[in-house]
Amino acid sequence: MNELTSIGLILLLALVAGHLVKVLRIPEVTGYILVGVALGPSVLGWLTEDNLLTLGILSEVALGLILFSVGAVFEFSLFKRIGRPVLVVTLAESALAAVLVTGGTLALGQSWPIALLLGTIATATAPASTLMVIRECDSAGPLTDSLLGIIAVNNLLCMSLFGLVAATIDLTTGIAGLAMSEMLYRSAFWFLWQLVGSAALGYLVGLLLAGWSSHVTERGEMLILLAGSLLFCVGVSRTLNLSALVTSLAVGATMVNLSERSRQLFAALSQTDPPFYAIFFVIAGAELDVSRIPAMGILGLVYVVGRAAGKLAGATVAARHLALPLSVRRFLGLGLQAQAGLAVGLTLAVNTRYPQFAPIVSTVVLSSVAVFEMIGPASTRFALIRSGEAGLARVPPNEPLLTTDL
Amino acid sequence: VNSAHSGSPRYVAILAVIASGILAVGWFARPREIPQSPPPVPSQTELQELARRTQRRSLETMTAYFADVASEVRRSLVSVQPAGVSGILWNETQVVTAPFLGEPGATMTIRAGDTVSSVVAVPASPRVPVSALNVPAPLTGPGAAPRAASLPQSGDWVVAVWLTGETKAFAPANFRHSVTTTCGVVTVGEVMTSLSLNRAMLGGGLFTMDGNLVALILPCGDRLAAIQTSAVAEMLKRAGMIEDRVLARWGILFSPLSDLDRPYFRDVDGLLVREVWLGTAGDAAGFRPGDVVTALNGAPVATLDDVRGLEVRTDVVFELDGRRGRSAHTWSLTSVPGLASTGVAPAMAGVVLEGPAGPYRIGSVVPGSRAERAGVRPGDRIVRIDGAEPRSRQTVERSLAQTAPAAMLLEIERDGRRIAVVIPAGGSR
Repeated sequence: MNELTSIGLILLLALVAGHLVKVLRIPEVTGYILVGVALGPSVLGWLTEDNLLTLGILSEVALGLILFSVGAVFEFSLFKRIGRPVLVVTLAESALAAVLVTGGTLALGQSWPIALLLGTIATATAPASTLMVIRECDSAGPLTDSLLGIIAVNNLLCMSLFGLVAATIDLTTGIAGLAMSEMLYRSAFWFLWQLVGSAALGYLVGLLLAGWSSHVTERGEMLILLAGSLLFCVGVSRTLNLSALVTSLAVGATMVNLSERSRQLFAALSQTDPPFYAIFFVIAGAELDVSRIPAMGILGLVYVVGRAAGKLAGATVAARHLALPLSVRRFLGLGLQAQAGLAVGLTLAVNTRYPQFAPIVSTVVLSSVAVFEMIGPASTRFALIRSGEAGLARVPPNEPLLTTDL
Repeated sequence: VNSAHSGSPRYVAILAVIASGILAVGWFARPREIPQSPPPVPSQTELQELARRTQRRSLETMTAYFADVASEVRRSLVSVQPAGVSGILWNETQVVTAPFLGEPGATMTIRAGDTVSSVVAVPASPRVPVSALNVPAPLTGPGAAPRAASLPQSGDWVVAVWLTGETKAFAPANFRHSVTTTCGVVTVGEVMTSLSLNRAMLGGGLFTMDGNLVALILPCGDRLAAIQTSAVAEMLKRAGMIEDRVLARWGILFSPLSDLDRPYFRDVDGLLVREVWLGTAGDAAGFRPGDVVTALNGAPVATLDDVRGLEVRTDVVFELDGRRGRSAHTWSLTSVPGLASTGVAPAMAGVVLEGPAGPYRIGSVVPGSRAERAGVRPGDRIVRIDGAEPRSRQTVERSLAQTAPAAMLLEIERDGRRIAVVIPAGGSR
């Protein structure tokens, strides 16, 4: 199947699936992912590995758009209000998930690098699927804000943690032909570069976008500007070995704080980007290897249970400690279950950096991602609906989705 | 609503400078790539060495494969001593092997694995290139007789397997095609392969990769041939016929008088001595081709069944009466120690003795002539014409050149045997 055919098919089937799953009261995102699983190499094979490789670029653009939207949560006034609780909750849920998974893995007799790597990867929560569910439910309120904040901070935290763990493993196991100081420098550099460098690039692109957007009036032009900036940003971060995830987040954060017109921009964006998201999730589904699920074994089970329990308990305990609203306390943990792109990305990093640990880490993470990516969005939707926040953001089409004056 | 938008232009600009600085510093301070030296380009010599090794490796694999097949099929092979040739289990009670050397009635042993059985040799007919040994009790050591295979495809691998004493040997070969060939008096299918056969392989077999038997390696005239399995049963039957067994015992080939012979031997009833093999007991007793035997130990002889008594393997003296030409003749036939057994076809003895007779050698035979129809071949030597040795070349030419002749008896010598050929009467040459 050539690429255009697959894109067309992806979109049409995603639409059909989106309608179908509404009847089942599960999020559209899950429908898209299921379409992807069905079309992908592990089931029907209509989308081949080659197709996926080519379509991967659309996937990256979509992820850029999503994180750009997520970045809006860093609007100064909003973050000043929710920043502290978000940080605390994120730390709590991530730490508990990491501790439970690491401990369980160690208890099963795995080596400590594998345990630490799995624990780190377990902290990641998928920003894309979570954001999509929030949008689909048109939800607004304290739980929604907390979720947005947490998915933004959580990914930064997860990347930092991975940098630290990787540095630790490097320093204890060593890399052939490198002196200790060299190794230390390497680990520290990449850790900082991915965070600080990416933020710097994101800031510059955001600055460009904000400055230019004040001279652009038409909505179409605005979209061109936005698309151009984001593509440029993702492309440059690839060239510079930066994290496209952090960069896009930083563009969004900069934009929302500097531009008077950021709301229109985000609104325009949210009306234009659904096809990208559909493609993004179908591809994400196609890349899931559901055939791995039966092979996850006891270790995979420990990972799934440890992560789910850690996120749930961590978020709940921290929210109670901070005396957050009842809806947040009760449902925040359920909203954080989705796991996808970042976990897979980190697994790929493990494959290249630590091939000796790759077989176990890949099996566990890729199989459990298949699980979390399917139940996570449903869990988030459940949390949003039960908390009563779903539908609160239903606004006229020209109004922004993210209201900051709650 | 957006009053919270932070940042005076000054901070924004400072931040932009810092961000640019971070990117610039980071880009230049990035750690160098861990050098991964590309694998060195292999030299020509190394490539050749590699190719050689690959070849050797695949050869070794092939050899191991052939050795496997060989060791599998070897279970149906036995070693025949003292002839020192291989034999192949033919059925539960028979081993097929090359025609053996040695005296009739000699004791031979066959060894199959650790099982050694003693068998009494049945002399093979010198006209059939195979002999069967009757095994007293089913051999326990080896496996079952191999299944006969249909011919493989041209180019297929076959493997020759044989035993020489304790040595187990095999040789792979490519099957090419099969041809029809004549060995002694039998017409057989011969399997042509890339293998050149040698005497060590005698009695061995040619097997497919499935372990099925394609051909037996047997003597054929003065050479070796891989003879198709399908001919073996026919050959064994042939070797068991009375005339062949008498020939094996005494070197005399009797045959009933045929319609072609009748005109010459008008009024005689008996068995025609068709061939006498030189250096045998029959030769020593004074038999000549063209003699007609009419009585054995006083009993009249009319059919081959009447000379069955000659097969007896004791040192008796047989008295035979008969006719040579127009006169009566008597022979005493007895075992003569020291004379060659006819167990070997003369050609297989390695040398062919030429008789002392004059060199009246037939250069060519006109196709379709009476002589050709009677069985004269180029290379035959004329020993006697109508019972008399020709005195000169002219005599021979005159006898043969008769244009309106009566029937004529030629005694010719071919490959160490004397053969009676009756040229029928006729008008044409």
